[in-house]
Amino acid sequence: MNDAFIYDHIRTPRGKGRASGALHEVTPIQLASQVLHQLHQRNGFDADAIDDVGLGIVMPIGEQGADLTRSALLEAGYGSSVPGYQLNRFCTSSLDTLNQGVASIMAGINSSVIAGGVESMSRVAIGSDGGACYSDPQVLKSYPYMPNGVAADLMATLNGFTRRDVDTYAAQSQKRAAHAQTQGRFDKSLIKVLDANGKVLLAKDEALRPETTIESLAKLKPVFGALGELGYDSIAKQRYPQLETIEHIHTSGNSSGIVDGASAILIGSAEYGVMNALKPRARIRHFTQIASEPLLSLSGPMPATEKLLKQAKMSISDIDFFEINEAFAVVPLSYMQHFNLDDSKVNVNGGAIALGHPLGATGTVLVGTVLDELERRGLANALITLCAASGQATATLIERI
Amino acid sequence: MSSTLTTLKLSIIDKVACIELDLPKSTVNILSSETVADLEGVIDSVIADENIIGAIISSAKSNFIAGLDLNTLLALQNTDSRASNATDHFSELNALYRRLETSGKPFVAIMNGSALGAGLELALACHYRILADDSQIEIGFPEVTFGLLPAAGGTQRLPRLIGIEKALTLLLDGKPVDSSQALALGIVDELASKNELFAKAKEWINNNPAPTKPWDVKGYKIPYDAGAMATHASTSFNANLIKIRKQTQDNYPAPIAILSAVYEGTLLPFDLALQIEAKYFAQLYLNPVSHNLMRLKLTYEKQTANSVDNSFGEKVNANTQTTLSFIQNLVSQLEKTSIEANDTLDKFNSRLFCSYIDEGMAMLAEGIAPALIENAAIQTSFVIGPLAVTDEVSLDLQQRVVEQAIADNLAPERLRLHAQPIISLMNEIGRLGRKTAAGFYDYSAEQPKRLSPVLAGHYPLATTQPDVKDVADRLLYIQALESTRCIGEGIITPTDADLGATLELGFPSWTGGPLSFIDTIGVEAFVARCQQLTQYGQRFAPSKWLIDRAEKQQNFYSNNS
Repeated sequence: MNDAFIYDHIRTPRGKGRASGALHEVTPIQLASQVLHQLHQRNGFDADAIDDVGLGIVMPIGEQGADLTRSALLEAGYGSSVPGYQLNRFCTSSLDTLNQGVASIMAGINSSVIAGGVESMSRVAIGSDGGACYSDPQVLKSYPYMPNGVAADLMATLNGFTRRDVDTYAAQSQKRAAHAQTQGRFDKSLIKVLDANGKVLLAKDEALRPETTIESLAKLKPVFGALGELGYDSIAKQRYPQLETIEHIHTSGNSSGIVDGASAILIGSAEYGVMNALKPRARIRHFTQIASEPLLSLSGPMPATEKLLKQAKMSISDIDFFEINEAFAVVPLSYMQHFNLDDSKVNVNGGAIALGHPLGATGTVLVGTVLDELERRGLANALITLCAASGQATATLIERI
Repeated sequence: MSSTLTTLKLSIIDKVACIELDLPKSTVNILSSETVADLEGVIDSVIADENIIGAIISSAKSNFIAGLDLNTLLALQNTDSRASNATDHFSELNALYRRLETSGKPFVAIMNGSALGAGLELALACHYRILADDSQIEIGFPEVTFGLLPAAGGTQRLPRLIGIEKALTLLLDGKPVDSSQALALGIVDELASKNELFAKAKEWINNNPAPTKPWDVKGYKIPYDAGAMATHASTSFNANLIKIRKQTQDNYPAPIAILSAVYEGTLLPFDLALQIEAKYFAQLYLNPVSHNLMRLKLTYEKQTANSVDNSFGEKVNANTQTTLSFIQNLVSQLEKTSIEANDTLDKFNSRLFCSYIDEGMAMLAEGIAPALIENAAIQTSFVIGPLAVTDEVSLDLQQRVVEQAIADNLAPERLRLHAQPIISLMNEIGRLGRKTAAGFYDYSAEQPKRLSPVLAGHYPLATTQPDVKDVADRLLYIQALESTRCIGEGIITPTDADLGATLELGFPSWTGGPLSFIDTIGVEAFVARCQQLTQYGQRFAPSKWLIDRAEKQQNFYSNNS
């Protein structure tokens, strides 16, 4: 099998996911095509010769529908010979495009692919895509889509995390993100998003709240109690009947932020790098995808990591950095609890609670963020994983070159 | 026209056929099989006769039509065992209604009184509906309350007339609306006083000589849209389904079947949609739950000597049952029956209730997690968990009952031996229940009640916890067994026991009652499981009388009930 290398990663800054957000006026195709265009500008590879481009898009409808990737790459100046596809596995989507692209290179089928994602949550709202798991009574009666926040609260109740625990974690994410931003640790990968006339709309992530404290977070009201009361708690207790009640502790302050953003990673074989005078930055050592209990929904990162480490014949202590998507504070907390990890290795520059989670794009955002940090610190490897609804998770292990 | 019409009168006035339903030997009209046969003959004649320009359907009684004959439906369930038969059950009636509404002749329903279920479906098949303006009138679809769905087009006509969201409020709850609400919702077209109904119907017929239904016109789109992308989808389908699952704990299949019939049917052309409705009807019809609920309803109606009494629906509606008033009623019943149990019904109530709460307490003492015990009860659709209801009726009352039983020298199995230690302990530590703000639960004004952490100190949790199904079985089986003992001792009949247990004592109504529960499982299988459960105590041992019945496969209800 061939090795697959990351040659470059770039991403837009994340705009607040509402009408007042800096990227709200930018169409999703613009977000995607600016990232694809800049990736080419920075690296100078042959834009007619990319074998495939995959973008994660979790709401692939309306202006994000109809295989946006193909239109976006043409718009970005890639040749008509470059195919593109869209992928949806909820929040892991761009990490899945990365893994699938990597697989095609390891298999010797492709020489170069681009993986990434785009999501304009301010324009195409979460949950606007219909969906049998939301609406078909025959599906809902057995396999309802557990609202993510209720699942997060369930996970916290099962694992013994309190409101204070999740607020403490969230405050730390904000602090780390603010520090990383002022230290310029995101600058290497960020591109400026431009308007139709070339004016800069956004150059830095804008959703973070550096002034956040545990006390300020404690004032926020839990958000998912009403859904729980509607009947989701009752459904959860059918599966977990030892629970008298589910404590609803997640708020807007300790859950991932709703944002607009896009990201892309250039992946290729060793020969591809040579032919295009590109220096590899990391090798993908291994990757996997799994699924687990659908109602608990968000606990996939642990079994995904166990499977990946087992197959790679490594142990948890071999890993220098972890990026565990902060879908909700309870997710990385549960991960650290499970593996007995120190938080000095986990989400060291903050995460989605502070910076935002542009659904389809986050996977490759996390890969690029941790790669920059590996290079900054001269460390060896990182494991990136995200939970996705219905118990799914994807994980990838990269080694710095 | 045939002169052998027995359930309705036909007269032709100014070329309009006046069809007046009048079921013999009944104070109310129902859609009996004779009525359907008569209607079929008359409607087809009206359609064929070029001298008739339209028809008015009315009732000679104080109600319009109350629904189907449940006795027939119940009896047929025991014979009609193949799914293919069940899907065809209403195909003739549906075909008749389609002929009516596509005939090109105006049919007007004038409703002087309540129209429920199949009666409302007949009215919806007509082209125009005029309702008497009377707040006592009930318009609705009660089918969900006895485990079925409206299978003569109700799930498909109602949403196409008034939109899915509003249609579901009637179909899922089974609660009727009055005449002004019926007009506001759009179920009927016009209100009128009783003496104006006929004239207004005639006027409409004259002004609408060739009506069609909207769904038979090309390009028809259902009002307010259908399917997963409809703007109302998150409330109509998602929120409703989740609420249903909480209320029914997945033990009552009818609401979900109704929701599916509407969700799927409204995306299809009308005749195909009727087939979807028929398939979901078949699923419900073949499910013992509908049999159990229909039997309960008929028993209730016989006992209340009311052939049109809609309060049955409220009594089995899980949502109503968890209300404070239901529990207060339960508590006051049990308080007065516990000591002075002379009346046979009181004796039965008391024995059934004690077997339930004593099993809950025994399980607590075995180290089974209290949350598991209570959740097992709720998830089986008991109205209230054993520990919670004991708190409501109080532990000192239980202590008095035990002392009285000892003083009366009752047989050992009447002494509640497995619950005595727990009752004593709770009394000793002053945790008497809600009245002391502390029982198995802690009670406070600021928060919902919570199982007390004190319990774990007295009853440490066992390292392995049982499956929730085993806990539920113990609660169901012990009450069913106790009921059989009461039957065997001649204290009560199966129908009275089942009715009392479900409507008054919170036994899950989907079972049809404790004896119906045994019949549904099969007496042999019931006895076998009891013998397994004796590992928890000899109180689970089936009597010789019951074992004999099992060997003879003798049910508590005969095959046509």
